[in-house]
Amino acid sequence: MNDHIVTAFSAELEQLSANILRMGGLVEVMVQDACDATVAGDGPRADLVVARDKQVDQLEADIEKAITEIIARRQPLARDLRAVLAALKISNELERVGDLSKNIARRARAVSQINRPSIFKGTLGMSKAVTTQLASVLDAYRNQDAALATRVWEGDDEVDHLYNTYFREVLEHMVEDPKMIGDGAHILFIAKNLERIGDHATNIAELTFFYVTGTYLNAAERPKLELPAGLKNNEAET
Amino acid sequence: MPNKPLKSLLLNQLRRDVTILTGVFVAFLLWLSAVGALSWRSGLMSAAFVIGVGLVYNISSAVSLKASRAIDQSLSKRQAKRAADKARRQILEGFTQPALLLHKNKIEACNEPATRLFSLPAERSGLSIASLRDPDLLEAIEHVTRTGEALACEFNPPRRVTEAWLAELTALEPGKTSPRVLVTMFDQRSVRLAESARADFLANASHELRTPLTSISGFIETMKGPARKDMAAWPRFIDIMDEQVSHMRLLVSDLLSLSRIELNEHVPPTTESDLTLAIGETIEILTQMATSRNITLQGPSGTEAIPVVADANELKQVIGNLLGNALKYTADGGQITVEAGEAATMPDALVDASRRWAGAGRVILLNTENWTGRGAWVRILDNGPGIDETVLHRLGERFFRVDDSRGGPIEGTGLGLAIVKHIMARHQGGLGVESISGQGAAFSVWFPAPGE
Repeated sequence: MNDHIVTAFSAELEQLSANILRMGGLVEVMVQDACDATVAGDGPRADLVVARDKQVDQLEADIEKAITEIIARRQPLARDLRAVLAALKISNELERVGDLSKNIARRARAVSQINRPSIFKGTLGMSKAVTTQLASVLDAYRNQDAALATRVWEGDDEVDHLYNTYFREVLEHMVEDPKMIGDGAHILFIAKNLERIGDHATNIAELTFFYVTGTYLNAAERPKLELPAGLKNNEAET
Repeated sequence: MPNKPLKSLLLNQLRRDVTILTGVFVAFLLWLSAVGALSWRSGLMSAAFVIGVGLVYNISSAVSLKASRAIDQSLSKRQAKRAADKARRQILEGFTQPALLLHKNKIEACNEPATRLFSLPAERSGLSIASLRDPDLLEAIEHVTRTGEALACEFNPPRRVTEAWLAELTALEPGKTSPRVLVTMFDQRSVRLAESARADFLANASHELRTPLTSISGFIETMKGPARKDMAAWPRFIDIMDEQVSHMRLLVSDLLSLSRIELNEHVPPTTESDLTLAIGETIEILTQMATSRNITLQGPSGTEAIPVVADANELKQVIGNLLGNALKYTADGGQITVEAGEAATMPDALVDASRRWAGAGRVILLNTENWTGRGAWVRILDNGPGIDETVLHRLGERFFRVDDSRGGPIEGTGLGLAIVKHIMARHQGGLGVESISGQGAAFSVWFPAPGE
């Protein structure tokens, strides 16, 4: 459908979306690996995440350069313009997700001494929900599927809900056992990072919807969860 | 294209005709000039003109003939390519596992399982290989494209984080600069599950064996050390050690029978046995133990034979294990009842056996539904404390015990129900449990029965 009179332009746009998907694939695996590495205390796997973040950064720089060139040389309009703008912003979002996964992976060695696997059930639950969101939104982008993008956008409250429950659970552990405070703090940050990754997936869903349909999803309509009681004072909504 | 040879034939004939006609016409003009009807000058000029026209026609038709041949050739080449593409796609569709054919950074063909695995869009012509997304897989594809070597790599398809897949990549034309790459993918999940189950089982089994062993070695140390002279305490120590040893013996024999049953779990029994007889024999063995604890053991009211398709020994083991559990968990002076019956179909047997108590917690722990004939069932109920509803679904797991929730030191290996479950799986039957907290629990099994 991206048929242009200048075939090189079509090729450039295709290359652009291929690079976004490449970046998305990296980030998907990084989120998963970071969580698994933390739960298993798997240092080498965490290092792999950190190494992959460099690739993500490199891809982001490449994409930005390619986009500047496309805008300068082709002056895209309408759908092409949307494709280029969406790609630029999605690559930013993905780069942020990469950073957050790296942040999670960095904690893998710090929390590996926890002798209580039950506390990680929440981490695994959240990482599953978040990677599912990410995978779905990347599918939506690749298949140019506005309906799927909308579903991802609406599904973020599930991640929020998981975060709130997990937050309370970890707090309880910390109250019960002061030895857990150090590790608990790490886990809270991991949970927060995962929740942020969920938000980025939602943003990508909005951008994909814009790219495909040319209209905006109404941010006011999105179902939002209240913050848990213990969270209102010390956590600003980002 | 059937008109292709005809067209060139026609063109060739026309060329020959035009050449002959030109010759005849020129000869005619020359003859006119010779007889004096035309002046030599105008005759020669007309002849030259006619020759010119003939030549131009001839040359141009030769050129067009050549061009049309070239077009025909390229058309047939394109057709051949389309046929080859179609053949490749058909070959991929023939694979039962997901398979992809990649060419020049694009997904050239992709079968149905692969489409589902990567949730690719229905319109998938010209998709970039980046659509596959997994970095390990993409790296492997690039490597194979570059070097032409075959390669295998593990990857996780998106959204399937718990799954493990293995991709095998082969370059189809390894000499070329951009060869086609064939990717076939295999689900490794069952392999992984089996591996982790085995590891879990070993860990659990060694843990269970170590507990009594630790206790025994502790007593031995005490008897060698601080209590060396305290002969009065020795009999007590020895009693405890004896208890632990018999527990270990029990555990080992349970483990052995479990592994034996697992070994032939996929071979269903073919012999017929009598359910009533098996129940009677088992009750007889356990009666003494029951009366010593003042527990009433009530057998089924009917005495006629109930035929089932089952191995007689394993049938007795099932009833024995279930009765043994009931005895263990029923307080002194309690009541255990065994009921049995026949049903027209297996689903009827399931209902008769396991859906009796209104408002009870109920879990069907096992149900194999591939038996279409008649069924028979056994139900063993006690008036013990019942089982906590939240753990009902975990019954039948190896080494799972509800001791904590039921209270009191109750000995057992935690393998009894696991053995029952495996035997019932082999018999293509089922296992269910009902429980009302404080009032009792009922375990039931159902078997296929011979006859229509």
